[in-house]
Amino acid sequence: MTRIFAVAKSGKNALTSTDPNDFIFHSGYNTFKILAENVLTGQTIDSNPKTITVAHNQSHTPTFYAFAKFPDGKVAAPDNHDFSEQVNVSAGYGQFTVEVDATNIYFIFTRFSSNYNVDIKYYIFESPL
Amino acid sequence: MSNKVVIAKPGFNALTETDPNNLVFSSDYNTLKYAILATDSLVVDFSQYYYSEVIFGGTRYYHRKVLEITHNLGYIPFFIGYLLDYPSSGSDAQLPVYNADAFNFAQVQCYADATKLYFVYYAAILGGNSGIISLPVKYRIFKNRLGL
Repeated sequence: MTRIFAVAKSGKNALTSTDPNDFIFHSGYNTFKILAENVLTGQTIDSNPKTITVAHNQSHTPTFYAFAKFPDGKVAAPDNHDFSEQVNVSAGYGQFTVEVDATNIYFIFTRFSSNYNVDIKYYIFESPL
Repeated sequence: MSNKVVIAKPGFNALTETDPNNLVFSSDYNTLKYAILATDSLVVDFSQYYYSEVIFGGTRYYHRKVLEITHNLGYIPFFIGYLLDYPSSGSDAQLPVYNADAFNFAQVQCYADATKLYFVYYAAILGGNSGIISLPVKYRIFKNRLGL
């Protein structure tokens, strides 16, 4: 008999439920493990585009996710524009994308006119891309 | 020696396995802690444009509408925003989404700060100064603090 370790949500029965959404944890389903996370503060976007390169130190090209905090204090996921830029396109802030290869993770920011600073948060998850 | 909780995938030894891809769970690794899943609507009244310009022989109207959703976590969380039924296809898209042609553009984006999520509709539409649309949005907020 296969043994499982399961923690059901309140009101659900760990012994009988078969819906994975009824569980806080179930050993039959993988967890999305965070292998690394880091914050890069005060990164100056002083060219267009500006690429910030960070070694991820994984043995493969990893799954990743990232956020950037723009000068207006709003945080966005990749490919969003700066919140304020949508009110006044001359504000000088931009958009960012994230790329990864077997060695590095690349944060690529656009700059329309003025330099600006951003803070970046990134996660490296298990499982190669 | 530190104690840990490890559950290995079938065929792997929890006592000796070091590759996280071969483990279902390990207390050595943090996980995303799912907190909130909810839906809302971003309603845009096209008569409420904030700027217009004559271009291509017509008038192009600019729109910016923000839906604010209070999360009150006190920190900026890991979040994901979606636009549902985009574009009226029955499919759902992770934000941001962009649509454009030679004369028009429209985009929906998602932001967060320590108190709120923000869904932003930003568009410039030739002749777009009347009518109302309701864009269904969905969001997931995790307890994980971004530290930004």
